[in-house]
Amino acid sequence: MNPFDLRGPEFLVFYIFFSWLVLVALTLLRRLSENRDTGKPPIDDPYFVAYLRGGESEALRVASLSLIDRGLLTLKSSGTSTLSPLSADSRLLLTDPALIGTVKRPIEKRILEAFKTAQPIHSTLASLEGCTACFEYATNLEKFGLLPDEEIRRARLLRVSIAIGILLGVALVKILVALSRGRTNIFFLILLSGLAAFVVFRTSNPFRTVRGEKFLEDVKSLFSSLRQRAASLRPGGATSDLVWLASAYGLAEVSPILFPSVMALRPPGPARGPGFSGWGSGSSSCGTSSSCGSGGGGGCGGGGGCGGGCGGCGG
Amino acid sequence: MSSSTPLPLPQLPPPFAEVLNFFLQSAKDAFGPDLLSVVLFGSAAEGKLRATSDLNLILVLVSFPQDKADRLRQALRVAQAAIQLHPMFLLKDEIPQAARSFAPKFADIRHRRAILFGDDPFASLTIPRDAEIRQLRQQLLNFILRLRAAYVGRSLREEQLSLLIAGALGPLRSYAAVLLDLEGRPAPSPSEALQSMGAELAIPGWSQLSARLAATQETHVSTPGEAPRLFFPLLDLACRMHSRAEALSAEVPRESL
Repeated sequence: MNPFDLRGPEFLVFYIFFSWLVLVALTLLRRLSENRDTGKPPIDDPYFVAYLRGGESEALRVASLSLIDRGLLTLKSSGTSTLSPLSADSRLLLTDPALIGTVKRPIEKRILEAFKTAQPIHSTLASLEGCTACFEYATNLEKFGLLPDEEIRRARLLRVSIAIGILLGVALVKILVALSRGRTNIFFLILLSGLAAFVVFRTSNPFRTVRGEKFLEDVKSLFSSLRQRAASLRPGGATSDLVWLASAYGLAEVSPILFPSVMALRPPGPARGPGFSGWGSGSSSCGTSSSCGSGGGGGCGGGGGCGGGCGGCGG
Repeated sequence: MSSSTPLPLPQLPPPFAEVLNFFLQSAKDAFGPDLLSVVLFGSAAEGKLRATSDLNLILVLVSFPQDKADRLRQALRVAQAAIQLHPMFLLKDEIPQAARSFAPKFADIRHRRAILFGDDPFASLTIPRDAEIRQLRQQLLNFILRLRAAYVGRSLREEQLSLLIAGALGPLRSYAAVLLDLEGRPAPSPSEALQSMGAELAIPGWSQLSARLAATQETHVSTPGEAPRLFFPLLDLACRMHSRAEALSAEVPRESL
C-alpha cells in the first residue's frame, strides 16, 4: 500500500503516527549515543548538582541561599512586611569583608565579592552568569557527559535536521501528489507538518544528557530522606542539609518558615526547569560571557526561562 | 561485664547502603592505616532502620591528625545530609575510658553493633558494672526531669506532645535494655526490652499502650486527645524504671556512687 495514495484524513492519521515514530527513533538514538561511560561524577559539591538541575542561575541562587544561612550575606529589605521574589527592594550585603577569604568554593567567593555593597539580588546574580566559577561547573558537567558538549550538540543537530527533513519531505511529496491530482485541501497537512517539525525541534535538545538525567535522579534518590526532613532542618549552616536539599530538589522545597530568605531568592515568574537547551554553541560560549553574560537577568535567568544554563542562551 | 558477639552485617535500604559505602571508602582513603575499625551501632546495626532514623557509626583510630581529618569533611557533610550519619571518632586507647564514662551507651553498643571494617574493637570490652548502674540512674532521672519540663512547655500544642513522645521512645527502649541487662536478664532487642519492662512494671493497659506508642513514633502523629493519655503512662514507666535502677544501686559500694 502506498501511503501517498491515502485520502486526506487517512493520510493525516498516518502522518501523526509517522511523526510519532520519528520522535521515538530520535529519542532512542539520543539515549544510545548519550549514555556513554565517562567516569563517575563526584557527589561532593552541591552547586555542581544545582547547576545540572537548573543551570547556572540556579547554582548561583542556591549558593546565595547557603551564604545567607551561614550568616555571610545579610538580606536587606526596604521595610516591606514580606520578602517577595518580585520585590525590587530586596538586596544582599556582605556581612564582613574579611569573610571573603574564609570561603573555599570559587562560586561563593564570587558571590560575596559581588555583594560587597548592598545590591539588588536578581540583577546582580544575573550579572554573575558566565563567570569563571560557573564556567568551571559547565565544563566539568560536560566532561562527565551530564550536559551536552560540542560533539553531542553537533550529533543532536544532525539527527534533528535529518528528522525534520524526513517529516517535511514526506509532507511535501504528499502535497505534490495532491496538487497533481487537482486537490488543494492541503492546509491541515501544512499545519501538521509544521507542528511535527516544531515538536521534534523542541524535544530533541534537552538541557541535560541522558546520563545527566540519570545522575540527577540518582542524587535525588540519595537525598530522598532529606526531603522528608525538610520541615525540620536547622538554620545556621552547621550541616549541609539545606544546600543539598536546595541543590537536589530546588528552592521550592525549602521551607520559607524556617528559611525566610528563600522567598527573596526564588526566581520571579513561574518556576520552570531548564528544559530545551537551544542550539547555541554550548556552555563553552558562556565562558566568554559575550553571548549570555549579563543580559540584565531577564532572559537567561529566572528559572531557566530560555534554557537555564549556558546552552540555553541560544534558545 | 563480658562482651557479646557483633551482629551480622544488616541489609540497609539503597540510599543508606550507598551513602554508607561512600562514607566508608572516604574514611579509608582519608585515614589510611590510622583507621582500625568502623562499627555501626543502634537500630541500623539491627537492620531496623526507618526512613527518618539516623545512623550511628564509630570510627576507631590510632590518631586524629588534622590533614587526614580534613580529607573526610566533605564526605561527612554529604552523609549527614543524605542519611543523618552521626560518627564518633574514637582513639583505640580511649575505648576503656569512654566505656567507663558513657557506660549505658557502650552497653547498648556492645549489644547492637555490626563491624563494617577492621577487627571488632569491642570484642574484649569490659564495662564497669558500677559505672553502668550509676549512669543509668543519672540518665533516667535526667530523662524524667526533661520530660516533665517539655510537657509543661510544649503540650499546649498537642502535635508537639506527639513529637515529644516519638522522640522519647528510642532512649527509653535503650534504658530498658540496659536495665534488664544489669538485672541479668538481657532482652534480644531494646524494643523487646521495653515491651517486657512495661509488662513487668504493670503499666495499666500496657499492650495497647505500647502499640499506640510505637505508632506515634512511626508517624509522629496521634489521634486528637490521645497524646496526653500516652505521655503520662510513659512518664510513669520511666519513673518505675528509675526506681528499679535505684534498687540496683544497693549492690554498688557507696564510694563508687
